[in-house]
Amino acid sequence: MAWIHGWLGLLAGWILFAMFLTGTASYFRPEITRWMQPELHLRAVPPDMAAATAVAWAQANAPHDEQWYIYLPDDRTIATRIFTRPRPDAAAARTARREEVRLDPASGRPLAARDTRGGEHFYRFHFQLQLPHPWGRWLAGLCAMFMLGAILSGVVTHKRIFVDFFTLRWGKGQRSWLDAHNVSAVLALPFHAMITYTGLITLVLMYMPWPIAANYAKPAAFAAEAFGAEPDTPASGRPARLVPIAPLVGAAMREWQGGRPGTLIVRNPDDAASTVTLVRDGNDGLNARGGSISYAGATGARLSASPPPGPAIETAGVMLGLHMGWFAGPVLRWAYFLLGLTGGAMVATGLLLWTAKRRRPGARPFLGLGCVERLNIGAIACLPAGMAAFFLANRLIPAAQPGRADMEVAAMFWVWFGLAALALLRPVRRAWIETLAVAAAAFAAIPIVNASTTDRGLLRSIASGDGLFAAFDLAMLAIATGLGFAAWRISRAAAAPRRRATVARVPAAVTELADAA
Amino acid sequence: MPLEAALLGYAALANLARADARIGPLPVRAPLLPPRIARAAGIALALLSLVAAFLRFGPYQGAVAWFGLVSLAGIALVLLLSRWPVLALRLWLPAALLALPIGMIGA
Repeated sequence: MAWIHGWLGLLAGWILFAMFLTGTASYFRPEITRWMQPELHLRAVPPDMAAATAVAWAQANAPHDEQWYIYLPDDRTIATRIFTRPRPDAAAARTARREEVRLDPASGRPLAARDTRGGEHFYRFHFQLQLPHPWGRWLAGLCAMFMLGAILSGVVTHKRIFVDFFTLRWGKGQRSWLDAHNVSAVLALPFHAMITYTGLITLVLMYMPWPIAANYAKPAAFAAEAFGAEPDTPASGRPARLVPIAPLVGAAMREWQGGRPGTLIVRNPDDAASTVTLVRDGNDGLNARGGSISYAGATGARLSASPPPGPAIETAGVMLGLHMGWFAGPVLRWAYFLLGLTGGAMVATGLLLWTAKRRRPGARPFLGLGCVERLNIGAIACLPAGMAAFFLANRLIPAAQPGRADMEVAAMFWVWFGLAALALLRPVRRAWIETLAVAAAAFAAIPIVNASTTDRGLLRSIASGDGLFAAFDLAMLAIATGLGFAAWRISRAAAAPRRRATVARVPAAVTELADAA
Repeated sequence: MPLEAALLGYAALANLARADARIGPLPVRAPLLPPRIARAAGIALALLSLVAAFLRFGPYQGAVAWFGLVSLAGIALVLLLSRWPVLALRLWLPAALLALPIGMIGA
């Protein structure tokens, strides 16, 4: 079982580390996006007001389109997102949707801000790994399955799970890595098991499509039965205006006992047969899949509502909610974030333990060990540097530069893989110290670059009570401190054997092995 | 800030660690409890933190919050224990006492 645990963890470890780190960052996806568009100074407004301003914009700019999709803001996203789909062209097989527009929910005016993927980049990378569809999702799923296997086999392998519950010993080489791996795994085991299993369940219909294929002619038929069919009334050809949208939002919120709408879908908006569907957002309950209510757009009459979910759909929705953490308020969101970092630490210490177990004092590392050591550096030290480069690129690339969103993403990968490639030229210990130091310096530079390129630097944010920007900069400094501390610890550990060898003529690695024996 | 479940969780785990023979011989000096009493206090405080989590986060999020916050409290405790074991264990009383006003403010 220990053999299975070790190899499952090793083979998927580097990708799992990247998934953990980017997934953890994604718990602050809206906040990251807002930080990456510092030009925007928006305030949250009630959903009925945001819906009214968005519909007014759509009526002025796309009155005859077939559908409007309006993503209403909440307290964290703040901006309204809207895209419309024109009426199908008889010559075209399928009509492409128009470019997404972001609106100020208070005024309904389109927002002008730098183009960026924002927090969405980390979120997408977390399960798509920047690979073409569907390969990224398949690879992420495979790694998640390895992770689940590693968790189960780890629990079986770890015979002293309760005895070593509080044990963490520093400076004892392999034993310290084992302690750190055990502590980060065991103390947060409920989170690790939950996040891995629910992550797999989130994409289970992709990984296991056969039950639906065997029972339904089309996947849409399954979706209609599971989640309820939305009205699909064809346009009547008789023009009509939409009723005011705010009362419909109010009616839906009363029916949901205070639940907020997250999405507003308007079909045939200029027709007498128009419909307005309000989809509840998943932020006010564990179930991330909210129900929907449809109204006649011309009269405001309630047409239908999605049926109450059955036990299986409810369970799937709760699992999705547990994984995404949308329901979490600030304290629980930070708890998710810190537990995600613990997951990253668990994977990283597992990878380091694999090399610590196989390193022999004075011997040249065999090929496999050398490869694992280099890949460890590339993942554990260089990925954070890449993530910092993503943020730095956001501030350093001119706001009006065409294609800048892609350039930000490219900056992350160039720094990540470039630094990993450069680290190949250095001895392993020096490579660890230098890559971690580069990552620390990059994170420390973020608040400085932010202050020098925007009017929302740390001191000004604190003075003006801008909690998001102040917290972001402080988080960057905390991460820089952590990475710098790691570099400093390794540099001390690298110096210690030389000192000990000089004084006592006992190789440190022998002491470490004796400790671990 | 609704952290009473985490603070009570810390106090609970600190007492359970105190009762663990592997931590080593420590003086029975306030606020450290004798090992047997510490074990009982640890279990009682763990139950109290569970109740606090449900009261604060409601019936649906309570269990999620409890697992998450107690896990984090455990990690903080183990990190402290690895450097300053006596201080880490003694902090159980301030943590438990601090939980009281925080819980009352939120109630």
